[in-house]
Amino acid sequence: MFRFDWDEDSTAVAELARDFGRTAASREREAAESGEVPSALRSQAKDLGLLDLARSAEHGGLGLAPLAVGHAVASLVAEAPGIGTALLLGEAAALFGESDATGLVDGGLGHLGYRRAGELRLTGSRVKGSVGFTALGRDLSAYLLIAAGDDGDRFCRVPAQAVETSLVAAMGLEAIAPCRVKVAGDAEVLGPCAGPERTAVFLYNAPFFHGYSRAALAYARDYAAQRKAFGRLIGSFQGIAFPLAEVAMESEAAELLWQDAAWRHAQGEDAFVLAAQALRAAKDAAFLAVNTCVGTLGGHGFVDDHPAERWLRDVETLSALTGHPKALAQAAIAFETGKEAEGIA
Amino acid sequence: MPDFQESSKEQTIRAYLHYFAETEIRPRSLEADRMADIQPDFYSVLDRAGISTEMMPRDPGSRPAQTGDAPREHQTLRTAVLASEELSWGDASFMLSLPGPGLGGPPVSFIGTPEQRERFFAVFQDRGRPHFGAYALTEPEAGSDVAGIRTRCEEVEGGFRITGTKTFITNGSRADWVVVFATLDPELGRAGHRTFVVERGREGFSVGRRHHKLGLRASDTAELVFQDCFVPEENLLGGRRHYERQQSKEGFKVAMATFDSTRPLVAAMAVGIARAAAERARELIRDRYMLGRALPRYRAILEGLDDMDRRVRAARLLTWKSAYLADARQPQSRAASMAKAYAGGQAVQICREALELTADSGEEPDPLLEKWFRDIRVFDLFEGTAQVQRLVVARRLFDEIGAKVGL
Repeated sequence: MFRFDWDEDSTAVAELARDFGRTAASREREAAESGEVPSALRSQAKDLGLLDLARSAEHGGLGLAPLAVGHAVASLVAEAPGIGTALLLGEAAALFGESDATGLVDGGLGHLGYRRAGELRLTGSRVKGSVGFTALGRDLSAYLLIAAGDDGDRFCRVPAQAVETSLVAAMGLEAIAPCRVKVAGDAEVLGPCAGPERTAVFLYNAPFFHGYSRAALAYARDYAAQRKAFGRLIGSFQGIAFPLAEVAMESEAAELLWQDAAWRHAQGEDAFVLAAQALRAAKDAAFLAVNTCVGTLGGHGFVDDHPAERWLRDVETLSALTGHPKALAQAAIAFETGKEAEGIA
Repeated sequence: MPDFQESSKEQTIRAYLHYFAETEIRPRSLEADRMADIQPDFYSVLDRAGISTEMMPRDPGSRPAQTGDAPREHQTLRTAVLASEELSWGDASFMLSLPGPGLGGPPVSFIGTPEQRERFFAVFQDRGRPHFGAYALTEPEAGSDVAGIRTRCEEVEGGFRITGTKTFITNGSRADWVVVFATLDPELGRAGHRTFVVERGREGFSVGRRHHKLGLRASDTAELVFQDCFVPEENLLGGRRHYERQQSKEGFKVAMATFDSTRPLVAAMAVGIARAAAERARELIRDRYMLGRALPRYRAILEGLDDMDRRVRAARLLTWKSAYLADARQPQSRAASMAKAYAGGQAVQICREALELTADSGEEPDPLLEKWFRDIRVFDLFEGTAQVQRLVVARRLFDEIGAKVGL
């Protein structure tokens, strides 16, 4: 029978991530202003194993199931959204057994006519092209590329020297330092990147949005419970309270869609479309949450005395980094319909 | 760890009810809607198929509530929501017309004395004809505002006299008995609430009229009138001592507890209708053309279908979670309200979009999609309106931090 509780191990890891997030929360602004996570926090996260959440035990990680990884990611990001995202988003290469010195760059799907900000083409063992906007880890020694070959996407590994990166000025997620990537050189072709692999990436990305949703809902609720207007707490006005209820519903729905997709993926089912839908739902819910948070704070939501405006910028930037919702739907359709995609108007 | 595997028993129940809905309910659906009644032969078909509210766990006739025993697997609310979705996929009016205690069951089960449970549920053992229970809370002037009911109960020798009018009562005109909420004195607020079981045929109890509705027309929805209706002491649900022991606020709590267990069922009904509409739209679109191109080849159409599918699944998962929490005896009024509000709201949108997606190509509107478009609207209204659900959710949000904001 279906159930919705978490086991002890998953709960323990999520609590560890949450507690770390609470200690990191006070340095959110500092990280955004400096453009990087304070090194002491990064070291602490590394020591706690938080940078190895997605890595299999075989490759020196914690060997957690996707559900447990997402549970921990969302718990950390809910407490320290910017730092949590900066620490963990660039760790997606770990899903495929790579070390934390390897960055993942997705330039695939080009063979289906799907257009992104950039594309990496694989011809023989040579990769060439650029990706305009991506999130990478720090101090990288290699890159795991997803490049479009003639008969599908392929994972390729190239050394750092084959890749040229330059920072991109984005409106949010300053601590993650999004960048443009240019690649030209020979690569070690590792194997196909098909439905299951893309599903894993979608599932890894969605909990970052869940974390932002939780953070924004909690912040808006706490504000509404202490701010007065017209002689009353603003939380007593349905015009304030109902949108918060809406956020709670959409966020919960998004998390459950993700849980369902992650569970089915772990069972070996084809969960590609479910994962794409879950990621899209997570993005929509996160935007609703941070936008409602800004609105709940009124003018205070527009200025940087509160984190709401930063979260709004962050979520939209994060959305671009992981594929805008519309683009995601297009990718899903392209992926599902394959060559027939050319006939879709 | 969350787990989304249906047990083999659940799969069997789901498959069997889906088959029944497809072969016995759906073919009767449009005619029943036109007649505003269920075809009489349906009940014998139902009986032969062995389908009853025994399959709907919170049916108190079979659930060992109050005893502390764990419900058997087929009696969990989780199984009930699966069954509710499948039958409503066929036609929600038929689902609402299943013989049994209906919404009247949970209050009798939750606070009825052993003698009362035995007495009131005994009627459902009779297979000679369908028997129904009903739940009468809503009044013309008090719907979602449960605390504001005005139906009076006056203490008299040997019992109470009830006076007032109840409205929008499902199965009201054919119920063998009705759970009625009344107040000793409106000034007492929730503390004045009492809950009774009133049998059909009691002097002073009559059916006012059957409502003509936008949708769910085959489902019986009636107005009930109580005029100095005498109800004996033994029909006070839980007995007098129950209210003394619980400091008198139990009548209101019974109404609320009922909603916590019935809202997931109503949410599941909305999911069933929305799923039916989404499937129907997909089926109809497959064979249609626009501007010389098959409809499925338009990206906007595909995105619309994909979006419907996503929202149906999200609504189902919220419903499942609220049912799971109820089975685990964990607080779930927030989850129940979220499921009800989300499923109801999304289902309304999905039915509308299904109708518009398929009607846009100059074709005659599909009668089933039109029916579901009418049927679904009430799912944002009954068992607490969309606004009331948001009120519950928001209050629980503030409760989490102990904030009293006065909402």
